[in-house]
Amino acid sequence: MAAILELRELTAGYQGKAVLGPLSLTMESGTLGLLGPNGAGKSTLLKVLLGILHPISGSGMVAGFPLGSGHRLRRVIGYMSEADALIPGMTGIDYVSFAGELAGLSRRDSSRRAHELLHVLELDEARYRLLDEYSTGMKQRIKLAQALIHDPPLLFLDEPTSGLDPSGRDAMLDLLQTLHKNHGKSFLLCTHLLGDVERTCKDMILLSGGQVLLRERVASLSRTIPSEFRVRLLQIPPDSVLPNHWKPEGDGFLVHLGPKGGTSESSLADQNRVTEDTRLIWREASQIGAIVAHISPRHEDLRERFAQILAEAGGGKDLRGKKQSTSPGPTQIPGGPNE
Amino acid sequence: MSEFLREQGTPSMGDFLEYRPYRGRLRGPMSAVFAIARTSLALLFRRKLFWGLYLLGLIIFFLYFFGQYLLVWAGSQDSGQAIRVGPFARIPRKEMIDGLRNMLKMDGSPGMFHNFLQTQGSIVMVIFALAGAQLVGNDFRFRSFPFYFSKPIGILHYLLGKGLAAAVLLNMLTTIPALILFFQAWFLGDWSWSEGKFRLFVSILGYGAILTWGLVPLLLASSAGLTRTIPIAMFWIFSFLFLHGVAEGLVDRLGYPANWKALDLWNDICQVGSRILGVVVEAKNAPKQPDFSLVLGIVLTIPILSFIYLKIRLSRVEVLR
Repeated sequence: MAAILELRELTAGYQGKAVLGPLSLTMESGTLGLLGPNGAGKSTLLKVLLGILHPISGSGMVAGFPLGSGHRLRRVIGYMSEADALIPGMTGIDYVSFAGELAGLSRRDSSRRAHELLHVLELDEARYRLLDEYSTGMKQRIKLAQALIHDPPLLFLDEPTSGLDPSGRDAMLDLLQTLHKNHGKSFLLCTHLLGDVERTCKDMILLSGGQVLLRERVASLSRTIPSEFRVRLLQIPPDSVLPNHWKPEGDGFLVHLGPKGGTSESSLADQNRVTEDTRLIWREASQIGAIVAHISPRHEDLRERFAQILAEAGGGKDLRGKKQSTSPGPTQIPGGPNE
Repeated sequence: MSEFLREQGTPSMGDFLEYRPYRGRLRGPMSAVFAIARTSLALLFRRKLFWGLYLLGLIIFFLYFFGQYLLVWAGSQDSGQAIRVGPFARIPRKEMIDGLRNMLKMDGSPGMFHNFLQTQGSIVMVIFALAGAQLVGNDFRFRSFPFYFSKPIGILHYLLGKGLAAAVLLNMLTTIPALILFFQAWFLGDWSWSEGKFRLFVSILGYGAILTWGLVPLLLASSAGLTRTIPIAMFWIFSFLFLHGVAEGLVDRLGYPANWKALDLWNDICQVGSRILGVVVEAKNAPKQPDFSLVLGIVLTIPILSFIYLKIRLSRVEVLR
């Protein structure tokens, strides 16, 4: 598959001082999550990819255009910014239509396409309302509409679910998945929320201190931890004593049955081991007279894993400039698989 | 309904209107300049205040328009006849013609266009002082730049678009009405087309160009720097009223050299404009004027400095944070 994004030994920064790279990266058509703490270099990378900032060294291609080809590069990119970036006093339809004209569409095409997009994004009822009156969810959708107006093959989405309530967030992530699956849009999702990346992206990269710390398939990140189970009990008799490997956690218990090697992914042996372990937990629970209400293998906590990776790389100490003082360190990547 | 659709069931509108790829051609970034200008003007004229100010500008235009007509009409009356003005007043024909021709200069001469453009220019300055925030300042205040600069346009296209909007606004009040007055004078006159008329036509365009050159970059720069209406208005009051008073006080009252009058930017622009029109400003109106080379230097330099400031200011905009 052709690479839609390719960076080779790219270094970028400000006033000659590098804050990103050297970075080599290839993204095939698809979806890529870009994660990292504040000051990791995410915004700098996006600036370079948008052609706003020239790299200090190295080279790269975005959708067939070399980096540094300025506004020609932005013809193949749709950018949804984190900031509102709205024009007060404008209606929704005028805003999206104006975006189309800036992107090079004729006035007629732009207006027609703006109407279509606002319908697809379920904003057709609000199209003649002023942007100032839009809710956060509507603002996010109109920002997506203006990014899609010229039908770019590649989207850069900067915190697309920022400020959305859970249902709004679900709707936005579903929409992004639909755009990828049904309409072949590739996107680079820049976010602090691991859950967003897990739901929408095939691959992810973790940036810290301007370096790629981790690049993996998202599916491979969510591993099951062998011989560890989350258990919730009902009707625990008073004065009952649980075995030592039952540790209270939240409203239930974390049961660690000791290392037995291997993982519990798909082999028959692993599946048999899970069954054995489950039986053992049932038996131990029934011995004290409790009823098992819930039992599930424990998945690796991505937050913990990323925090560990960042700590190992010194990411928590390597945050730059002003943002360092406000940064809570490696644990600032909030969210997780269950977020 | 066709047989096919009946068999399939009636689809809803939503079934037809799905996301569709765009198959058309994308135009170059210069086309965005016109879109920016048009949108900026549309946003400006959504406010009733600007319609009010524009109508005020048109009142002055109609004063000149009907003044020219009145002069021609008075000239066509019997020489001994007094002309009735309103229900009671009667003005001798000769006095009326002298008043319109010599005092108000509503005779289609370069002097008339100088007066007209100078008067309209002062209304343009009021409009600009109030429009700057809407045209450019709001883009800074509301962080609209990620919207503009994530599109295939650059700083130059943005500035050209905003500048074009301001230039259209200015010329709608100055050059275009002046050209209408020019053609009116031509039609009311002898319909002959001479080299002098052509020169006057070009001079009006030249005066408009000088007003545009002198005021538009300054408007963009002051709006980019100050962003809000009140500070922008104060800057314009300082530049065009306060400095005018200072220059006049220094030269005409305190006897400083005439070159101190170059502090008055509006006077400088009008000096260059009047030179283009070939009008010698009468000594009564302008007792002492600075050297023309100094005036020309200021009129050429300030917009260039404004452009340099704009370039720096816009380059420092954080498109992405």
